[in-house]
Amino acid sequence: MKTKILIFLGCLMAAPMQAQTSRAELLAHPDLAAGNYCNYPNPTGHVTPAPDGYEPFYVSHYGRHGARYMTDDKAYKYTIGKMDTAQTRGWLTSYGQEVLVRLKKAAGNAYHRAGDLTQLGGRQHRAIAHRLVRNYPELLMQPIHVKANSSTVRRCMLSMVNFCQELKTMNPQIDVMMDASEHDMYYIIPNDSIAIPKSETDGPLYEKLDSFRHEKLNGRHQIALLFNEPQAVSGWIDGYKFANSLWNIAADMYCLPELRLSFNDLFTEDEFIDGFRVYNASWCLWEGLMPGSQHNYYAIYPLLKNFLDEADLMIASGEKGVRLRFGHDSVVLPFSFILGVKEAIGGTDDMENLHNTFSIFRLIPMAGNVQLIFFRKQGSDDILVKFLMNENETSVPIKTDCYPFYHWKDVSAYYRNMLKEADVKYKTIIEKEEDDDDD
Amino acid sequence: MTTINKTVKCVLCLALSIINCQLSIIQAQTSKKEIFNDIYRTGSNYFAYPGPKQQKLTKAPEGYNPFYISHYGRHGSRYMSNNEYYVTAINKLDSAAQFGILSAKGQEVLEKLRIGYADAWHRDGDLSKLGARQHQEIAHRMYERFPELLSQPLKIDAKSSTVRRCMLSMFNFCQELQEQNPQLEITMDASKHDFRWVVEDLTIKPAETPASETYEQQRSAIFEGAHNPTRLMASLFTDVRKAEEFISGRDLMEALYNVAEDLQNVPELDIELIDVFTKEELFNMWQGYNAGWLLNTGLVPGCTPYYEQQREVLDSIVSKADQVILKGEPTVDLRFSHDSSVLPLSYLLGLKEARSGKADIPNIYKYISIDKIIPMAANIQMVFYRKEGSDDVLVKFLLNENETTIPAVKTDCAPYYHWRDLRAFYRQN
Repeated sequence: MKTKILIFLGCLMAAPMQAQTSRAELLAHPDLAAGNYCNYPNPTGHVTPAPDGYEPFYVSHYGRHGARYMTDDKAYKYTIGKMDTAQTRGWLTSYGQEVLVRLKKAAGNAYHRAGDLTQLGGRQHRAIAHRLVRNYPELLMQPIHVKANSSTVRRCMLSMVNFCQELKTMNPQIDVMMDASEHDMYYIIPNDSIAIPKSETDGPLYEKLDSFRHEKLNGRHQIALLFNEPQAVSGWIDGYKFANSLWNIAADMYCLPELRLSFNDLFTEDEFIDGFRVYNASWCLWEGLMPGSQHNYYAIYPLLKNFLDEADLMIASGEKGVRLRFGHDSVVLPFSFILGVKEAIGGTDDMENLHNTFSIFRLIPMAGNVQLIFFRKQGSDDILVKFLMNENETSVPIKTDCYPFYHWKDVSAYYRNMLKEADVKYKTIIEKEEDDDDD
Repeated sequence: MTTINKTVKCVLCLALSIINCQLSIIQAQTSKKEIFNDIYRTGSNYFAYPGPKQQKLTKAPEGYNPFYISHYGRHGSRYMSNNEYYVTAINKLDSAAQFGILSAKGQEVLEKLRIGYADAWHRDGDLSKLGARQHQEIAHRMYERFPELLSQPLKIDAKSSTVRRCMLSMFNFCQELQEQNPQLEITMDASKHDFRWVVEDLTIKPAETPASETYEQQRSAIFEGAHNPTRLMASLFTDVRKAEEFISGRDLMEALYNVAEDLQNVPELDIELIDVFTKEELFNMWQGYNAGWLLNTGLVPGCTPYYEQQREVLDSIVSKADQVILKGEPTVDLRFSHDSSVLPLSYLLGLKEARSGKADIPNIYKYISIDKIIPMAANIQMVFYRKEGSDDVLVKFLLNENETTIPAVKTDCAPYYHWRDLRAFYRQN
């Protein structure tokens, strides 16, 4: 117990104050309110020099795919379907008619592109790779080997190749091996064979979230703007579904700047931020980051193990290299929570105020990523590691005397112990089949 | 140069091209001996990319320089697209072992199957390491063969089928180009949005021709006749009669053929099962697969023209070339797809290797042999040349990086063709 308190105090002293998100910040940067659709925010650019004599020799990276189209066309189908019918019946305001044209333009562009990486998404990954080389040229400009695995989803694969292509452009000597196979999915995506311990308080939290979502995205304002007789359409249009669809469309436009389309005019600033708060709370609960929720992040433990095992192998080999993994927000978020990075641990069930301590735009914007940079010193066994959340140096709840660097022996022991205590159990074949049927 | 000299030169050129043409027709024929000499050819579309035979390409006519390459490639070496063949073979041999009727040879085969299956587990249809290398090497050779084009700071567009092995083939190809020339600006994509310009359209159903049923019966007879498992069963089992109670020899033979042939695409495993069969057996089975591919693509005179499914892709290639010529900016277009796309495209483009089919199914392998057209990483490259001060655009075709010809189109400078003549041909056919 004493040790735990000491570790806790050590962290408090070492780590800077937890990032707070205020309404003012969101008002000043409405793009951040797009939540997990938000364009990758540029990192601060601050790179703390490693302690004397320490050189980077290994990068272990997990990144979400870059900006993408919506993963299906339901939002377009619902809004355009309802508004098209309304137009033929003369129920649309002239503003509504103009919005319908705009929606059709966006939907036309998205045709047969559900879930695809956008051009911006490719650029985001190139930029991240570019900065990696620029920040650690001692490592990245050498003829090193890069091993990259991606989720089997195309946008992740294309993110991977954009990243690697930039590395190759900057240093043609590197040797890159890319793959995307079912074979590696057990650690690249949430492992659905892992049995998640049940939580009795999970259900009530979902009920609470449901009310929160329906209250914040009620659609009354949008319906009043777009339809002549809001009363007449009220039973015909599901206000929540309508507003939710429009919010998602509006948020996804941040992934497609070349279209020069925006739907933010359908929301007041507060309403758009409300949409953000809805998804902020949803993600916090979905991944098990909200106190009392089911620990869904258990499905990410194989990734943690992969990070630890491969780092140990690299250290033991004495070699240098870069390890890249490309996947999804549903991994980056719980993974950063497991690691305990300061941006991910502020979850609370106070959904109204959650954004003050926990904001998904700091964690899972498009192309969101976690990087561990490893350093060693000639003639010493000591290995240092630095944690980057979206390329910004961050803290983890482990004692250190050289923040933002941590001693790998402490880091490794801490997470190995975490894995031991989690005592991950795998579902039996029958349990897995039953779960798959439920999906 | 005097007029006489010119005439002599023309006659000589003509004579040479006729000889060339005849030579190439002879070369296009496939013999049993040829297959026996390179037994993995019997893998047909499993055949691992052999690399180009032709080391030195024909120089372009004076003053002509390459300014555009349109490349259409199949993914590289891959794992079997599903592991059912492993499951079938292992199950049956394992059961035989339980009954104590597995021969020493059978035991050896079972052990190798287990190694192969462990490696292939959850890798169904994946690009293998060899497949990645094949694409790097093709890109490397493309750079070496056309440095005057590829060393420029080009903008390159690459598109792939949405299937992972094609995407990874594209990635490997483009990485190699980037390594050769870091100035290249390569855009890659794989989207349903572009499917029609990359992959054949299976929703097109050409009307069945009167001959197709007879052809199918002939093919089936070759295929089934080739799957005679008597010798194989006797080599694997000590009690064939007992084995036949729970093993279909024919199905086991089919499964082992697929596994044995695909192992050439995973050479790092260093296991071979090809010696489970005699060369004669492999040759016979290959004939069945070869005929099947040709009929399913429409390459036999009188059979259903399934190659029409690839027409949209041909149109896209032609109109993209027109755009590039009009715009005048040097570039490269890369498309990555499947065997079922390269084969019909080779026919539609008029390549001699795909146009020599005869209405003679039992001997069809002599005329078209698909291991020459669609091995793993198969590709067709159209290289466009132009000359300053001239509107004339010349095109050269490379099939699997060897120069080839379009017998239906006349030319005065083979293996180069005038684009205007090719366009007329593609519009009519």
